[in-house]
Amino acid sequence: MIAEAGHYALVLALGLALIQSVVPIVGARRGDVALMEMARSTALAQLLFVGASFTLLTALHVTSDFSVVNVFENSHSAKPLIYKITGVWGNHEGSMLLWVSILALFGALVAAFGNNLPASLRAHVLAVQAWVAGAFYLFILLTSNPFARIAQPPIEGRDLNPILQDIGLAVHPPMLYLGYVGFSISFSFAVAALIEGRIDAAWARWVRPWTLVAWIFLTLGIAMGSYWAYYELGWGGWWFWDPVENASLMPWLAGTALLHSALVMEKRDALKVWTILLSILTFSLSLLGTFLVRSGVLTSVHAFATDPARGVFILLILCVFIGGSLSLFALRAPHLKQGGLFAPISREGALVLNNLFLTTACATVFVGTLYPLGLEVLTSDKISVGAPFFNLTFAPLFVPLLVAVPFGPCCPGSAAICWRPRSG
Amino acid sequence: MAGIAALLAIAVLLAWMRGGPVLAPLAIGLAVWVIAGALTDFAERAGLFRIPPSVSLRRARGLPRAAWGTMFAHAGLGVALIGIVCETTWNSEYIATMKPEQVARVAGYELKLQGLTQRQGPNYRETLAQFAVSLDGQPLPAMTPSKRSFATRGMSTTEAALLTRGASQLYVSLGDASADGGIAVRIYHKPLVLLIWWGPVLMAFGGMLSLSDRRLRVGAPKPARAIRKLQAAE
Repeated sequence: MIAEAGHYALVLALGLALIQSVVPIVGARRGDVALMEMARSTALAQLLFVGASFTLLTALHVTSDFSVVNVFENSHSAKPLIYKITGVWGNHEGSMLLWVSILALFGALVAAFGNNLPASLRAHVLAVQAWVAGAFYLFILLTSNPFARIAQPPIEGRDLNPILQDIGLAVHPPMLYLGYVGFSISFSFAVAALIEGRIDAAWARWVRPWTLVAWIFLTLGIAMGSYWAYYELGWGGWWFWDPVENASLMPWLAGTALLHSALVMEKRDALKVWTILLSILTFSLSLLGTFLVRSGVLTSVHAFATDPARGVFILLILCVFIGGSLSLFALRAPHLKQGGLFAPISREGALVLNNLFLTTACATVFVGTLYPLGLEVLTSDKISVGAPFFNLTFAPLFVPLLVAVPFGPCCPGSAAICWRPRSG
Repeated sequence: MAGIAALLAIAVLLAWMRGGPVLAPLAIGLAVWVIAGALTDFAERAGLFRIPPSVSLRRARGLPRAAWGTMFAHAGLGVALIGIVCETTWNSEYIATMKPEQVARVAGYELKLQGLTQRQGPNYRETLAQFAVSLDGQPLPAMTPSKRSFATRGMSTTEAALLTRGASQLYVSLGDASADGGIAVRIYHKPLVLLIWWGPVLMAFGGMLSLSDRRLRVGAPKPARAIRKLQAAE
């Protein structure tokens, strides 16, 4: 009964997301406030239902209900309570449910605290959020249902992968997802701005706190994951440059660049188009990370090919959202009004430099991570791109970046942001 | 600003003193540069050394939280870099099969394997190894790394024992037991390794400070003038 209720709540959330993805946009087109405001209620209701669904799955795990496949495969009645709870996101289905729950949480936060956003911007932002949410609800319901039952329930479960039974990995995924998914807000703001064809410094002011929240969680999440690897894997290494780690590093690099470019945009009304592009890229990299980790493509490209249902679905989501948002960007960005100019040797100039190096570093990690996959698909050759590659490419890019760091806040022209006694 | 350049000299100094790897002191110099840059920029804004300390202290307190946040976040970058460089350059290790009563020496520390014990956990069996640790004859807290084997999945995990000394750590993890009563151990001494994670924590702390800045608060942004006029009507 609990499992069915959880499943049903998820279906309802999908329904709400579908409404939320259409109605507010119609409202914004017609200037109908009531229709636009609807997005806020649906966003809050979505959180309610997804939250319920997640709570019910947790309840199933806590009570060790082995008639549910997900619990049977990832739990054991003798497991300590805390790992029964964290086991909920220690597996594919449960972690995707956590993913959408956090997405719904962020959507609800925008709905609840976005009082001072212009109504049409808020409506568009929430609609875009609902597109993402809807796609992932469908993904869960169609390919990875955590509530599926077993006809003849076994007596004992198969237990959670032992290396996940650790406090570090209990906290790491929620942190990481708060980071990954948090970037969906800046993505939604960017797409909303493109749809509306209007963007200004105030936009950056709204986006920056959200980006900052996501960035904080992602920073802590990556650090926590690295510390876990250090003490749990028994090799004393803390960073292996393996694709799963790179998948989290790429959004972090892009997100750091985004934070800084949003700063320039807010203060100087410049770099608008670039900031929009970075918002899109950052979340795209988060989606890519989800794809890499969740589709099983990393374990083996061939295993992915034999059971492609999930992978192909996420790949589809990836193509639609990344391709769609970039096409929208290509169509609309030229029409956005370019903003202010700034001197090359200035705080803003330093931040552009920062962006340049961060995105280039991100690109190297991207190549190093995806090239082996691409090669395996095309030629079946398995190669591994490891630390030597990244040490040779990534490190030299970070050196000039670090050299430039102190120049940013010190440069002339920063009077707008930092209150300085005399210069400026 | 100008004062920071002098700090690069530290790198040269380090290289001269140690005579070891050339890159490491340079990288540490870079890290010091980043940290000092963050601090001096902040001091500059607070007017430190230009005006009486009491005034500049007050001024520092009055600086926007975002300025504090920037300082911490940028300094965190340097802190992490120092950790990374020190750990990779001066990391020392001891990998061998040890029997009870044998002693391993790593980076001045002496670790004596006292014995192996078994224990039953909630859903695993655990093999623990007791190590008595001492530095220059001074006893330190014992270390007990363990290996857990989970029957249901037939898998095992290593639980490394960590002994934290300042920001450095002594790290012991167990491998497989051999037939003659020995056990494979890996012992590492990792200097300043904790800085690798203190750095990101500092960055996140800086981010949170910046987030709590009144001017940035989610609920109270100051939008463009046109919109402010609208708000005035409320």
